[in-house]
Parts: sequence; structure tokens; C-alpha cells
Amino acid sequence: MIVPMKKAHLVVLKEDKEKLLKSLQRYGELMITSTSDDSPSTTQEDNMLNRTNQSLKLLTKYREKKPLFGDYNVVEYNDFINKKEESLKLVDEVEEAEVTINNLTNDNKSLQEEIKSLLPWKSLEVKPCELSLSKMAVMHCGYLESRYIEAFTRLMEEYNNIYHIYDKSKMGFAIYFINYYEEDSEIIERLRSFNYSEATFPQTDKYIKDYLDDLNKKLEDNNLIIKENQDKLLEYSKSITDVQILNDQYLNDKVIKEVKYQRTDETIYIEGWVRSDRVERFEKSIQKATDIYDLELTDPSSDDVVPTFTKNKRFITPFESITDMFSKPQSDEIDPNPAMAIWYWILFGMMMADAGYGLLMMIGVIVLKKLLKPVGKAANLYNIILYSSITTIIWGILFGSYFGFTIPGVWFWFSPMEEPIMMLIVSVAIGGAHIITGLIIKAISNFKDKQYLDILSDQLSWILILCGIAMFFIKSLQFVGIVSAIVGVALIILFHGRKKKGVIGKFAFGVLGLYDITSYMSDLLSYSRIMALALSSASVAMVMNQLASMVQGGVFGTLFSILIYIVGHVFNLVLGLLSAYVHDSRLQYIEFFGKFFEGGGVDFRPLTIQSKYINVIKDEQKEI
Amino acid sequence: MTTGTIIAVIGAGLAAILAGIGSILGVQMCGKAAAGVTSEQPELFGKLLVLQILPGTQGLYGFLVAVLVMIQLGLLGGNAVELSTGAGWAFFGACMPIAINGLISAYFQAKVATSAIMMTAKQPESSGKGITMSVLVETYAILSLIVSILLIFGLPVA
Repeated sequence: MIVPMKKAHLVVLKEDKEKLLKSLQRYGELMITSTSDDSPSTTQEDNMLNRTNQSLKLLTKYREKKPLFGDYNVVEYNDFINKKEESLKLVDEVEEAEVTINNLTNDNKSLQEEIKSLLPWKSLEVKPCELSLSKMAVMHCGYLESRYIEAFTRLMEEYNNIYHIYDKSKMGFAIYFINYYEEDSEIIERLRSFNYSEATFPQTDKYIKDYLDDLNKKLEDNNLIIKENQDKLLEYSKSITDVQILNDQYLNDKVIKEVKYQRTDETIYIEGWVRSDRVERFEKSIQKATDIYDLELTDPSSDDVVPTFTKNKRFITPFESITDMFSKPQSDEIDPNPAMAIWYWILFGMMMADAGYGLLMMIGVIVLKKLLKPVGKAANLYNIILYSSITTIIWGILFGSYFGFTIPGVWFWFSPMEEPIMMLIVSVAIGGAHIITGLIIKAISNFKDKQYLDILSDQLSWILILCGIAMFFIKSLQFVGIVSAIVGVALIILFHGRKKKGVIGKFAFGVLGLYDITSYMSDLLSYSRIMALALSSASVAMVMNQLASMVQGGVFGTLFSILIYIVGHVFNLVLGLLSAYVHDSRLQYIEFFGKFFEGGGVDFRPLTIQSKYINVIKDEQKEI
Repeated sequence: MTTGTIIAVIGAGLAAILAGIGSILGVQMCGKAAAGVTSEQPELFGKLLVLQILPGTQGLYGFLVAVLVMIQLGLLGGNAVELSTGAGWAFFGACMPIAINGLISAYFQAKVATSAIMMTAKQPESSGKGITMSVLVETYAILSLIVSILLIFGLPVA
């Protein structure tokens, strides 16, 4: 059923704004549609959202025990509405630790670079600051590739210079030599041809060896501090829930700030939609915030875009998500969900059609629901599969199919594997009934709009033709079938062209209306996919059984065959579920909805508490 | 083994191979697109996975037809039927609808599914429409599958 909407016009005092919006959000009854001229700034909230997200990312990394099925957070409303001082401090501390770790890690990188470049010089016996002190001689430190070392030695012997060759590094051998002042430029000039390059040292009054020790000491100290901070983060990650809640709190602050309203100097005006069955609750939610208010409720006018809220029995509700994936119904059309849900349920079972698989689905969903505690859309999907497991079992029993084994037990009708033609006929017949349901719904809607001729020409006629064709194949009803089909055809010829002018025009257009038979035929044939899916899932299951039975014998063989049973059937079940879900949806969208459904409605989205990390907000007061 | 049986086996093999190639191409095309989207919006993974796997069903249909031929000819049980050359060609022909249409439909369904993945990246709530659009292409693979199945069950084996 589609719940009618009321338009709410609400005026409150400016100073009550914050309190009112909080209360409206808490009870979640009003979809706000008013506009405003000024756009509020949410920089502070955005900033905090960024910070908490960043911290969460980091803390997740440091978390030791990750819950297998994600976090499950339950928070009291009163705890939710007030931000905890400690949580804010926690974010600060996490950020501080992160900055420290990052800085020191960068620091360590450059330290390591420096150590690496100085390492070849560790036995240099001159302090770097003394290298340029001599007046008579020039001391050089530099690098030379190994193939020039011999030439270098000869050069040094030639000038009788003091020289020393140290360790090899990436840039070549580290060399140290002393030239007389006069000869210096000449020697350097000659060395240039050997690709000689000078080394640069930090200005220090220590020996390189000691300097290196200092660097290593610093590196160790840094690592200690890093470790310390990592331990801190490890500790903080235990209170990750606090940060998650903080994130959700800022998210909701932002939602409230973004609410649009008109204002005068003293008052604000909010406009929106309320479900007509929840008006009382809505008014109470205002009273919780303030006594001074003015509320007017009006019926929607013709140029309003009215949001749609569908309210159905518990069995139907999960299937609403299937319709919503296609399109929300418009607020003034017939709710397609009840009929769609039942058909979806029946067809899903027919496509799976295995009692064993149905049982597996049922058990699997119940276990997963216990473990994951899904909410919202995910929960709907679980419930659809859970409900459909019942029809899967029923059709499985009718077809005598149990995990791919054909066992003609109780209630056995026929086996699709042995009588594929029969399966095809049943599929198309079911499809016919499905299409006729759609036509009946359209007829009801036309009846409400007083379009009686439309019912005769577009719905009743085709229902008669489809039923007539079906009866034609049953011997005893053959005559009735022919009559019914002829009446249907006559109705189309008579009324299909009723909007055209002139007798000839009416007649020609009426005959043209018969051309729709092609679309009905292709719709009917489309239901043969039920047979295809049922057969393919049944035969893959059969193949798995056959494969498993082929390897049986001995301990190894038995174990291996059990493995094939399990893996094969789970694989087939998952693929079957996906196909059934997809193709069942398609049959609803194209073949069924095509007959009556308009769609294009707007979802009813009241101002409510949004949550990313919190699963349940406990609030006893909410149920007024 | 008669020439007829060999021809029928080649037909069954082609059904599995060609429809399989279609699905391989299709699933990898969609997979590449889905992986790109997932890198930016990891929360869409579930929706994208459904879209990615859509062109994968044709491979399964081809496999199914191949197995049905094996069952019909008793190739799995060990008592292989001796087919005449004509009957062999008939089985070969029965395999062709799903072999050829499986290949082609999987490839083109993947193109639609890839676009649907892009659409889902921009509007996650319209993934249902994307699925429906891609499934429309698969209809013709299903029709071919039905033709192949009916022929295999209907053809005389002796």
C-alpha cells in the first residue's frame, strides 16, 4: 500500500531551531523540502570528518584483533547526542603519534643515506674540518672507479705523494691524497680524465668514525621513539569505537547544518512531507523540542512532487527493494509490491527448484543473519533468499529433485530432466498467469480512473485471448477457448481504435491493435528462461554427483568424492542464486511491470540519524 | 567409435569452447572496468560483482549442453552409443545455437555490462537498471540454449 502524504508547514522561533531539528532527526518523520537562499558553511564538520576518517584508517591498520564479521556497535541515544571529550582528545593524540612517526621515519631515511655515503671513509684519519687547514699542501678526498685505481697509484708514485685507498662504495673507491700546492691543479687536471669526483663531508670536528657512531645512535633513538608511538597507537586502537562514534556524530551535525529553511528576523519556516499515518507522532516530535510553534498540514496539490512510501505486510517488505531497484512507484498509482512479491517468490523457487538447495539456502541465511546481523538493504536481500528457500523446497519436491538426485517421493509431479517439453509448457503457462495478473492490476487502476473502455480493449481482451489459447490445448475446453479468444479479438477490433475519427479509421486502428500479439508472444516465450535455469541448475548438480561417484572407492576416493560434492554443489547453488535473482527481477521488470507499472516516484527520505559505523542506536523514548 | 560419435563429440566440445570463450572475454572486460571503479569506490564491490559475472552464464550454458550430449550418448557411463554419421551431424547441429550465440551474446552483453558498471560508478542506486539492460542481451543466449536442449533431448540416439 502506498501511504498518502501530508504537506507540513512549520513555523518556530529562531532560538528553538537547533533543538527542533535535533528532535526531528531523532524521530525521523519529516522529509524537508524547503529551500533557502543562504548556504550554511560546514567547514568545521567536514574538517572533523576528514580528521576522524584519517585516524580511523590508521587505527584500523594497528588493530590487533579485527572482528571477523565487522564491528557491531550499539549506542544509547543520550550517549550519541553528546560528544565525548576523551574521543576528541584521542583523535588529537592519534594525529600527534602519526606525525611523530612520519617525521622520524623521514629523518631515518636521510640518516641512513648519510651513513651509507660516509661508510667508506670510516677509517679516514683526518677530521673533515682539518682538510683545508694546511698551507703547503692540498688534501683531497674523492671517488675513483676501480679500473682507474692502478693509473691513480702510478700518478701518485710519480709525484711522490701521500695517498690512501679506502673502501669501495657505489661511486667507486674512496681515495685520499695530498698534493703540494704548486702541483695541485696539474694533478687534479690529470685525474679529471679518470672521472675523478670530489667527496663532500659534513663540517664536523670529529673523526668520520665517531661521526658515524653519532648518526647510528640517533637512528637507534629515533627507532625507539617510533616504536613507542606505535605501541601507543596499538593501545589507542582498542578504543577505535569511540572514534567511529565521533565520526558518525559529526556526520549528523553536518546533516542538521545542511537543512534548508526560510527565515524572518525572529522565526524560521520549514516545509516538508509527513506520512499521513504518522502525523501525531510527528507533532509529538515537535512538542518534545518546543511549545511555541505553528503547524499546518495540507493535502498535496497537483503540481507537488509527492514522495512515495510503501507500507506492506512483513512478508512483502523485503521484496520492495526489488521494485525500488527498478523504480519507486509514483505516489498516486497502485502499489505493485504485494503482487510482485508473491510472483517473485514463486518464480524464484521454480528457477532454483531443488529441495536440497532450498534447505541449504534456508540454513545458510539463518546462520549468516545470526553472524552478520544485517540491516537495511542487505537484510532485505537475506530475507528474500530466506523466503524463497520455501518455494525452492516446494518446487524441488514437486520435481522430485534433491541435490541433483531425482527421487520421485511424496507430491512428485514430473521431472524436468526427463520431460523438458512439459517443463517448457509449465514455464510458459506460469508466465501467462503472471502476465494476466499484471493486466488485472492495470484493469483495477483503469476502473479507479473510470476508464471502462480501456479495460475492455486493452486488458479484458488480452486476458480472454491468453486464457483462450491456454484452453485450446485442453481437449474438453477447446470450444470454450476458441470462443473466448474470438471475443477477445472482437473487443480489440471494436474498441482499440475508439479514439480515431471515422468508422474506417476506428476499424483500421482496431485491426492494427491485434499486432500487439507479437509482443505478448515474445513476453510468453521469455518465460522459457525458467525452464532453462531450472534445467541448467539440475543438470550441473547431476554432473557433480556423477563426477563424485566416479572417484569413489577407498579412503582417498571417498574423501575426494565428498570434496567434489561440497565444492560442486556450493558452486552450483551460488551461481543458481545469482541467475535466479537476476532473471526473476527481469521477468518482473520487463514482462510484469510493462503491463501496468509507471514508476518514477521519489523516495520518501525523512531527516533522520545517518550512521556509517553505528549499527543500532538505542532510544527508548523514540516509541511515543 | 563411429564417425558419427566423433562428430557429435566435436559439436559438444565446440559448445563448451565457444560459449566459454565468450564468457572469458566478457567477464574479463567487465572485470577490468569493475576493478577500476573499485579502486575509487570499494564500497560498490558487491554491486559490481553481480554485473561482472553476468556474461559468465553463457559459458555455463555451453558446458551444460556439452554435458547433456555426453549423457545422451552415454559417454559418461561407459556404454557409448554407436551413432551413424548422419545422427552425429544432427547432434553437431544441435550444439551450434548455444556455441555461436553463446560466444556472441556474452561478448556483447559484456559491452552493455561495462557501460552499466560505469553507470553504477556514477549512480550506485541505478545498478538494478544496469543489470536489467545487460540481462536483455542474455535472452537470446537463453533462447539458443533452449533450442539446443530441446534438439538434444529430441534427437534419436540409435
